[in-house]
Amino acid sequence: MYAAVPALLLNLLLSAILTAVLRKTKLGLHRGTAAVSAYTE
Amino acid sequence: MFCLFFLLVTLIGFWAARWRRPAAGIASLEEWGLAGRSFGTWVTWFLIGGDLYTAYTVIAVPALLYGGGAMGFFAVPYVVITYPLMMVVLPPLWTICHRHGYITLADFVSGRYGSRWLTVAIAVTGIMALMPYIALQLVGMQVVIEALGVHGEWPLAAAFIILAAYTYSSGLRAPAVIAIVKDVMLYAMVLAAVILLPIKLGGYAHIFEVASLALAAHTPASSIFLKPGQYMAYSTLAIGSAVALMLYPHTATAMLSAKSANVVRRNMAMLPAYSLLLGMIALLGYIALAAGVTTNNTSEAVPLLFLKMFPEWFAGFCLSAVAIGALVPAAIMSISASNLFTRNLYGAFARKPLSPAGESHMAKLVSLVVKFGALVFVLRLPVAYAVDMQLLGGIWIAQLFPAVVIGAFSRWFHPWALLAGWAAGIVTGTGMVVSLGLKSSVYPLHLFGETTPCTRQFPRCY
Repeated sequence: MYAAVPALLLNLLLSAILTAVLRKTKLGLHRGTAAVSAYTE
Repeated sequence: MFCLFFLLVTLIGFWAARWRRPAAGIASLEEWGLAGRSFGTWVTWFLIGGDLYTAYTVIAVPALLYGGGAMGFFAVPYVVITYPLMMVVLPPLWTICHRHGYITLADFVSGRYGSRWLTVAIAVTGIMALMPYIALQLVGMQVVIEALGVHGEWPLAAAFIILAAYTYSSGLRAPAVIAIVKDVMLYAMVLAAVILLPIKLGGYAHIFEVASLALAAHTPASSIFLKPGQYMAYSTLAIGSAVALMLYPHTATAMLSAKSANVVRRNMAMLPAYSLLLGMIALLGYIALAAGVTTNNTSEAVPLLFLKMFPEWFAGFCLSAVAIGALVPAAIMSISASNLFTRNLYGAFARKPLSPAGESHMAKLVSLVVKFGALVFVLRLPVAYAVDMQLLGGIWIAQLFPAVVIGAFSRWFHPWALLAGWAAGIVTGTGMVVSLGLKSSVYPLHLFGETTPCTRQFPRCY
């Protein structure tokens, strides 16, 4: 298997789990300068 | 013939500084690095085509088929997959970047998530992935120059000085104009090769027959058909490379120079014409086997094929097309790397923000440093290092997917989570390749007591 694929899957999984944890613990309230979604801009 | 075309593109490169020049000049990153976001459908098509289909593509894809058979064809489904993906992702990205004046994907991530360290990670990944890619363009040029019988370091150094000079003075306008010349030459070269050479060699049936016998005699033996054990490697190479291509900084630079999101959409519909071209380029590997080209360095297969089968003047035309094919992506890549450094590394830590003129001045200087670094890489280190680093670069750049691609549609991810995921992906991917001795990016993965098979080590080399 091309090494980029399992590395990316791990990357996605870890990002999703940590985001869920951080949002649950109220630490996920980050502020970006572009505050709306791509389609509303 | 070679010198004539090289002189032509040099003149075009310097003239490009005046092309579509605004009254205020091009002393800003927006103008120097993105040509004022002014390119219409056709210029963007030539620019992205010239950017993605590099000299090393023309050399390496047929070399993969010449040396390893059917596995090398993964490059074709790879580009077939990438354009529909880009069609979905790039227009919204263009819209956001245009609205906020973003020059790089790291600018986008900075605006999206407001995290300085995530931005730095994205910028460093982009620069680290681009450096060996630029070096490989020079390697492609070196192969062509050596095939012409010119040896020594000076021809490559001279080509580098020309490239550096016109990129410095004209910015993205230079590769955009040269890409038109390059792509017309490349289409003429490939069409002549795939029509005339089979006529000379007894037709495609004969070519496949001879190539099949020649590949079976290789050690280890290969074939014009994939073996079942190669299916997983083949499909993941195509999918992973398609994701990586979309995220390379030079893809973003060419995309952001378009004048509207519709230009980007139209281009994603038109770019598969280059996929057809790539399929034809790949066949040159089998044609070289059928023509009896023998070399231990598979990268020389295509130049030797041209020199053996074409009259001298047309071989010179073809080799100059390949060499010019190195100049366009090398220029765009160096511009992308300097944009990333100026905006997202220097810009992220500078106490006093640079003026637009100051930004463009710094980017110009950095583009010189980047190209000089790539030249030193090629001249002072073994070519294998550039190939190894490029192998890793593809894996690294794919790790931008969650922050950039998912970020174009959602702000759900937390920046610190994205940074942790990025670090895990980089370490895991690099670890896999290092554990294989940097000889392959295809890793035999042990999952649920099974090993995802990999029958042979397959180097990804462009």
